[in-house]
Amino acid sequence: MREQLAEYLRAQMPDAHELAVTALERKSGGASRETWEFTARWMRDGQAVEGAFILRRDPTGSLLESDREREFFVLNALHDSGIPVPKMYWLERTGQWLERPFFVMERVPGTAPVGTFPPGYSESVQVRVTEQFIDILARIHRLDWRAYGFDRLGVPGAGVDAARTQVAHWQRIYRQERLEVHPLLERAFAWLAAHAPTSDRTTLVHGDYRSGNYLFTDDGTITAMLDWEMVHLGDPMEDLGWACMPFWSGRGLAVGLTSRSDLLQRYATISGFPVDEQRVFFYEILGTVKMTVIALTGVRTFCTGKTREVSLPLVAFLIPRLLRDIAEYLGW
Amino acid sequence: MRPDIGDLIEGIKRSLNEEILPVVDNAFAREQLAYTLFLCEHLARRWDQAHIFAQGEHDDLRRTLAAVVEIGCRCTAPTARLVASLEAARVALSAAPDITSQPLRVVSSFSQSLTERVVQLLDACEESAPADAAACTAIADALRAFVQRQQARDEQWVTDVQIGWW
Repeated sequence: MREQLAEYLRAQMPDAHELAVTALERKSGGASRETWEFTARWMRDGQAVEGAFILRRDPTGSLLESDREREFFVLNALHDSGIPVPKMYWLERTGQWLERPFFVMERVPGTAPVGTFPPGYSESVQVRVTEQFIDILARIHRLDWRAYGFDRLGVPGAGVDAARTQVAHWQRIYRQERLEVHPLLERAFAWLAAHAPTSDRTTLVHGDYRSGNYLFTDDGTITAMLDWEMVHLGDPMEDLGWACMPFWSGRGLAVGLTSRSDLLQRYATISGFPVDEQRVFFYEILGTVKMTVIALTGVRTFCTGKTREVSLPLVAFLIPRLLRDIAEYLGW
Repeated sequence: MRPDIGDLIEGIKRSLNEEILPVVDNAFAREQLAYTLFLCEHLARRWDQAHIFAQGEHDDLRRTLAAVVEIGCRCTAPTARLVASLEAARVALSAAPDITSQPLRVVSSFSQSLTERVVQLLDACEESAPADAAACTAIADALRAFVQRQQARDEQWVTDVQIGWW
């Protein structure tokens, strides 16, 4: 694969000479796409140049059949927005070079904590990360999305449309991807459709705003928000509900960082948007349903032989835990 | 018959752990092997209980739907949807054969068709006629109790698996 990748890079950078790819390594994680790290070295105008990159290639099967064009377009547009995202370089829509479509982006330094905040850092680092985590979300929601051309993501109508669109979207995926019927999920979809809340504003919604999807450096600087494949326009409370899900909590802290109330309070202060607890609760339930559907999709891709990734069937073990959360939400 | 499935899974685990893993340098491949071993552990613990698990669920479904059909007979003014759902449950119950000597996937498949009747009945109870509120509540309670038991069984099945999202 290394030589094919080098060929591709040479085609993208005709003025680069003696281009070579080194340290090409597939990384774990990246449930929706394969993630590869590599370094490239080349000569330009007599000068040696080196770059560290991430390549994200469409998998044979995945948890999410997400839209690579959408993610590339949004990240590309956000590069100079003040929201920390990796710089995007190239989007390859065909399988001509590496068998499947892919995109190449900047490799940003930092650690991606999963679950609880990793040990060994001072409290001030955790506080700094927590504040930025919330502040960046506020910045995403305050973004003038029309100015960035994000209306092409699909603008929900006023009122309950944002919520209903998301419920219908995930219900459609559930019906496509389930291997068996789940009474609790069926009831949850019925409840969500009947209780869709009215949104008071439309914002850019990250769609997967949680621990595991940000990078931070040792001094507590968040260097990038990652995994934008579920980005859309919708209700800003959706990202808050997702971040507040018990599934992401660690040691009783929302996204392993801070208390739910502190998260919501700081968000309201920084964004200037009032937090509607009822809507957050609705989106917490929708988020748990969505996460269950994502897990079911992973199970299906494994059971139908669409993937060779052995971590995907493991998500089946998470489904009872998610369904228990849904049962509690519904009072079952 | 020996080796049985458990013996074979243990053998695969030993081979992966002691022969293959030590000579694999690539980090990603090592991780894939670790996941495979994790799955083998689960299989080794559960393979000889899988049929008991599936049969337990199937028996519970049959008992629950039979009870629900019985309660349905007490409805005085059922909605057309409820009548159709009760009839579908009755037909599904009579179509499900004795599963004691059936392969696991056949049992699971019958259970799935019965679970679809559970969903259909729960939906029908939502729009029950006021005259039948008591019977519909009793039906919904019986179905809900089944879902709770099913949930408890599923949780029990993975109780010894400690993993988180990445």
